[in-house]
Formats: sequence, C-alpha cells, structure tokens
Amino acid sequence: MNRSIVKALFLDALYQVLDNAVFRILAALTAVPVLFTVLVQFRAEEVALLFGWKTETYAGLLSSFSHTAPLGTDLRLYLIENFVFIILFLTVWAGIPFCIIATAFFVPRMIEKGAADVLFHKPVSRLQLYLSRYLAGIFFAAGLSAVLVVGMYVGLLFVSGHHDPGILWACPTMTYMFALVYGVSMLIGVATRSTVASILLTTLFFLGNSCVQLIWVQGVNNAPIVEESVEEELEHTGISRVLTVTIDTLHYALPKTGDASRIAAKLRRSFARQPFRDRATGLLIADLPAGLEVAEEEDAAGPAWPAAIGEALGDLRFAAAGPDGELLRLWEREARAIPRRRPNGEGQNRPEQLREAEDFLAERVEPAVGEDRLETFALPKDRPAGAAEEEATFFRSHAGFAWTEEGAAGSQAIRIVVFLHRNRVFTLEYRARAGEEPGERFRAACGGFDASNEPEYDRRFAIDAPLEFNILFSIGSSVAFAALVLLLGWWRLGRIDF
Amino acid sequence: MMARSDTLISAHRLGKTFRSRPFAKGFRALTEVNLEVGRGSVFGLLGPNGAGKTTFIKILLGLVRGWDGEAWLLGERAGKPVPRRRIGFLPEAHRLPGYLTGRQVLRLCGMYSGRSPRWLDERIPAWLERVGMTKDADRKIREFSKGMAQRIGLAQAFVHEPELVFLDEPTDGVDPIGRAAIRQIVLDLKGTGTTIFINSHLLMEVEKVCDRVVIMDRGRIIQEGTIAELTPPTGRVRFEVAAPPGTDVAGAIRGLGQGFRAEKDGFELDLDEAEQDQVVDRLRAAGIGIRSIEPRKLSLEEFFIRKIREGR
Repeated sequence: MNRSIVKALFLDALYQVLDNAVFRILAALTAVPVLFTVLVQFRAEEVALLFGWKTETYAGLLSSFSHTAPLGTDLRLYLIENFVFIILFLTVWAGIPFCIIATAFFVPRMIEKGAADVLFHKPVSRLQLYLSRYLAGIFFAAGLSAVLVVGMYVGLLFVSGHHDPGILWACPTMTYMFALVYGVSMLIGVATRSTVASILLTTLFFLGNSCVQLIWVQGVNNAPIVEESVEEELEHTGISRVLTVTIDTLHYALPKTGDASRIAAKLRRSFARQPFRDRATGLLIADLPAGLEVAEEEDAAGPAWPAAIGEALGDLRFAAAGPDGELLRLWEREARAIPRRRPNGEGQNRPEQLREAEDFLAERVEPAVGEDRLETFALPKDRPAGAAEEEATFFRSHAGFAWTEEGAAGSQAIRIVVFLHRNRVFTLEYRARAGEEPGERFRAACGGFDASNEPEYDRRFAIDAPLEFNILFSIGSSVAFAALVLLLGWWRLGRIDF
Repeated sequence: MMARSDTLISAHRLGKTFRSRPFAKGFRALTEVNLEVGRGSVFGLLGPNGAGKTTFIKILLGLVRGWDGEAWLLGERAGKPVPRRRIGFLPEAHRLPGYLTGRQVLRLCGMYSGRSPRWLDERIPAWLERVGMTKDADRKIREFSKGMAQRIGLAQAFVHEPELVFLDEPTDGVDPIGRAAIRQIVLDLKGTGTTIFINSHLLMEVEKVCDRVVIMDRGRIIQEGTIAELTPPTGRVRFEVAAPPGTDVAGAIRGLGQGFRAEKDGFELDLDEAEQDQVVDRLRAAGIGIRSIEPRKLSLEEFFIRKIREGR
C-alpha cells in the first residue's frame, strides 16, 4: 500500500477522533486525576494541597475518612497506591464502556449510504478500511489511557517524588482490554449498521463476558474451600454439570478481559524488584524496612537456633541485614497434621492452626531462653495510632515473643512472630542491638508483607502455569477471539452492496 | 475476455441481481449489458429512475459485488482496488465526512488515491478556486449547504488528476452559475484527454457536454450513439423573418414544403434542401428580410422520451 494511502487512513482516523465530542469529554475527565497529582503533594509526613496551602497528616486524613491502614503500613505509599488503584479501576470498568460509546459510530457512519460511496471507491481494500477503523478505535483508547497513566506517573514523580514506573503498564493493559472488546462493537456495527445497537449489544457483551470470567475465576478461587463431599454432590447434579461445562466452554472461547489487570499487576510486580516472593504461597515482601538490604548467603545464616527451635521454624526462606547488625529472617514450614475425632467416632487429620503453631514454638523457645526472660507481646500494641484492632492482626497472628540475648557482638534484642498462610507456617525473626527499640523496624517489616488474600486464580496465573492458568494461553485465546470477530466483520463488510 | 488497452471501460453480458436474503429471487437490476468506453471522450449514461445506471457505475468501482458477466476498468477486472487510483468519482447524494473541512476533504481524498500531500497542496488552491470554494475551504463540511458540498465533491473527484472520472448527477443541488462552472470544468478536462462518464437526468446538460450517450432502461442498454446520431435533423426548418406590415408570408412561399406554422417572428415548415433555396429566393423576391434559418434537430430529451416509450 502506498505511503500516502497509509497516511490518509491515519489522518482520517485522527480527525474523526479529535472531532468526537465524547472523546473531548473523556479527555477532560482523564485530566482530572492528572491534575490531582499535580495539585496534591504526598510529602514524607503529610499531604499538601495546592503547594502547601493546606496540609494534613496521613493518619489524620485517613481517620477523617473513617479509614484505617494495615499494621506497619507506610501511610504515604498506602494512600498513593490506593489512589492509583481506584483511578485505574474506574478507568477500566467505566472507561471501557465510555470508549465503546465514543467509538461505536465509526463503522456505522463509514458504511452509511452516501458516505460509503465516497470512501469505498478509493483504491483501498475493504479489509484495509475496516482495520483502519479498528486501529482508530484503539488509538482513541490508547490516547486517553496514555494521557491518564503517563500524566499521573509524571505528576506523582515530579510533585510527590514517587517513582513507580510499574503503573505505566496500565496503559497497554487498558488498550489491550479495549482492543478485545472493540472488534465486537465493529462486528455489530457492520451487521446492524446502527450505532445504538452497537453500543447496547457491545456493552451487554462486555458485562456478560466479565460475568462469565468472574464466575469461572470464583470457581477456581473457591475450589480449595469447597468440601470434597459437597463437590461430589455437585458433580452428580445434571444441571450443575451442564452449567459447569457451559461456563468452562464460554470461558475458554471468550476473551479474558479480566486477566488484563492481572497481567498488568504481574508486570508491575516484575518491575517493582520485590525483595522476596514465594510462588507457591503467593507470600510477598513488597518493601524492606529502611536501612535493611537483602542479605548475602553468609550473613543470612546468622546465629544458629537450637535444634528444637529449628524444628518449629522450618527452613530459612529469606534474610535481610542492616548496617548495625540488624537481621531479619523469614522461616517456613509445613503446617502439622493435627488428629481430630469426628462426632461419629471416625478419626481425621486437620492442618495445624495458628494458636497451635504459636504454642508449638513457645514450647521450644521457653526452655531455651528461660521463662523469666521471655516476654510475649500482642501485635496490636505496635499498631499505628488510629489503626483498628482487626487491622492490626494483619497476619492473623495472636502474639509474638521477645527476649534479649548476650552474644559475641554484645546484647541483642530478638522478636519473633508466627503467622499462617496457605497451610504454611511462617515465622518472622528480627534481631537488633539491645537497648534500641526494635518495634518500629519490626512493625515496618510486618507491614512489608503483602500476602493477605491473593486469590487462588491470581496466585496460579503465570507464564509457565498449566493451560487454564497460563498467561500466554489467556492472551493467545483472547487475541484469537478478537481476530475471529474481526474476520467475521470483514466478511460481512465484503458482502455489502453500497 | 480482456479489455483492449485503449478501452477504459468494458462490460460484456454484465448482470446484477439484488437479493434481500440468500436464495431469494431478488431484483434484476442489470441484464446483459455490453459497453465499451474509449479514452478522451465525455460519455453520458441516461435512463429513467431504476434503469441500472448507478448500479453499473458501482459495479465498475467495486461498490457493488456479486455480479455476473464481465466488467473491466482500466484493463483490470472491476472491483480490484489498484486501477481505482486513476479514477475519480462523484457519487449521487454523497455524504462527505462532516468532521473534515473542505480543504481536508480534498487532501485526504487525494491521498487515498495515492497522491502525496505536497503534490496535493500545490494543486488544491487552484481546484478550490475553480469550484468557487476558496473562501469557505476551511469550514467543516457539516456547515456547508448542499450546493457547496456538491462543489467540494466535484473537486475531490478531480483533484488527483485521474484518467477517468465518473460523475453521478454532478449538477444536483447546484445553482445555474455553478452548473455552468461545472460544465466548463468538464469541457476543459475533456480538452486535456480526461475521460468523463456522466450519469445525469438533466438531458440538456448531457447534450451540451457529451460526445457519446448510452440510454438504459430496466437494466438494459436500449440505445447507444453519438449526440449527432441521437439528435438527427427532423427535416423541419425555422425561418426568422422581418416582413413589412401587411405582407402575406405564407402566400409568398405557397407550394413549397409542408406543415407551415406561423410563429411570432417567422414561421416553421418541413422542407428538403432544394426547397430551402427556393423559399429563400421567394422571400427575398417578396421583400421579406431573413434574419436566421435554423434546421430543427431532435432534442436529446425528445429522443430519450421517444425511446423509453417505445421500449415499454
């Protein structure tokens, strides 16, 4: 194809987009959060409005919204990330239907009587014209999301000094998501020649498709907690079987729009350089307390635990060290099987619970440390001002142990806390020079964990996962669907007599 | 069958049936159309509404598909995009993109036809001037009147300097001054060797600019020929005379010709060539001044109506 023709296709699309009133409204709306990042400065200790005209502490701001942050959280980061999340969430779930509304007229207008004659007699094939309108729509969505995401990134970077290039992934993600749906809008447009029908049916498709994926993903997420007997019962119900097969078929065939945000989250995470992430359980250390660095192998070894305590701790999974001899270590072991007897007298094992894990550790620590030297502390003691009780039990941990130990390097304050995650028992150990209050850093270390409730599907969704959880399959099948829909649209367009 | 290289349009047993749904009987819009159009002519396609004129053009331009028979455009099978670079088209009741200005329409349409923006920028002002749209060139099409849109539509058909131009009702909605300008443009381009294919209901316009004409009715070609062939002399001659008051003009030429009819400044009658000289001699002998002598020809409109009536 001649360069001038390509240029004409591009310019035609551009003029059409720029002339669109909905585009201008959406562009104005996307400017609002960008403006927010410019006018609101997230300082180290406070939020400043209009370059310092009004200021408010983070805790004060949160409490004015009757909101509390999890224990040990960096409130500044917490607020920024929540702001970005809310904006991007709204952009995806409200922005895409808006973009559908704004672009649905492209094809019906192109094939209107009179307009089609002017365009389709040109030396451009119908496929090229059809694809150019598809690209115009994508250009439309990409332009808006780029303004939003890049604008927010730049605003946060220059005004608040918050550097998070990971959020830039939201731009291609939203464009990808729109690209999957827009082909459907075009197909309906070419089949019905009606903008209204295109908007209504595409929105219905978008919602229906999202529901199918939501139901399927919920099925995966709930699978581990559905009791075997219930599962068997369900499988034997005919209707349930038909529903399951239908949802499975639809899920595999339809574009997986919901996976777009998961892919973005994974990409974002891959950019974030997290100190530690456990693929099996999804446990993540997003941030290390200030001053701590991931420890080299020899530093990670640290002081050895007596064998009895070592049994309660399990394997060393991660270690971080500080300049003054601070050491943060994460231990992991499998939850023990605890026998229990059912009311009918049958014996059965169940996984160990948190209280039992704590007792198991306490039984071993007490003899080694000495009962008089061992203190127990409840995590809520360390919660930030304003944090609610339930928020403080972030790890569902009831208590921790603290004591002081004399060693070659002087006396050391030690704190350990046990928590359960996906039937694994984790123990976080923190050592610092005695006499210095270790609470702050310990709390920061606790706050750095981000493993609370990653759903099963999200956890298993990976590039090397089995087909149903595979990122490449998700992308491939979605793109295949979009390509098929585009082909159908092109076929239909090819059969129209203008 | 492949069209000859000097033939721009060639159709052989071309037919088209429109069906509202697959396997329906449908409506036969074109039947057995055979036509060849050579270079450098202005070709008129005439016919009543529903005759198949627009369908024929749209088949050639790839706007209508699923036809039978053969159709060739600039040596390529009709419907292929490549030869359409050398084609201009002003569709009937066209709707130019309302989001573009007049200038942008010319630029984009020219670019769609493969011309570079720089090449177009050099020529667009002249075309805007030619169609009388220089002043309004930077207004959006949606602000234009029908006539203004028609002028821009005409310019977009020519701006990329095509070899062959299809004009479907080019003077539709245009005022008499605009019509004269369009006629002049067509005649000017004819002089440069551009082949122009006009589809119009305004037979007087066609008669003034076309070399050859085809008349279609109910999907078939019923007559083809040059303007001269389709508008032969009727044998009737009109004399405009200046006679002194009380002069008996009819008496002066008695015995010559047939069907004498007196008119305001003269008379009209059927004459052969020999009788025409005798009429002149007798009028002079009777002292009657002759202002003009006009052999009457059949108008295209008369011929068209006659042919359509004959066919029905």
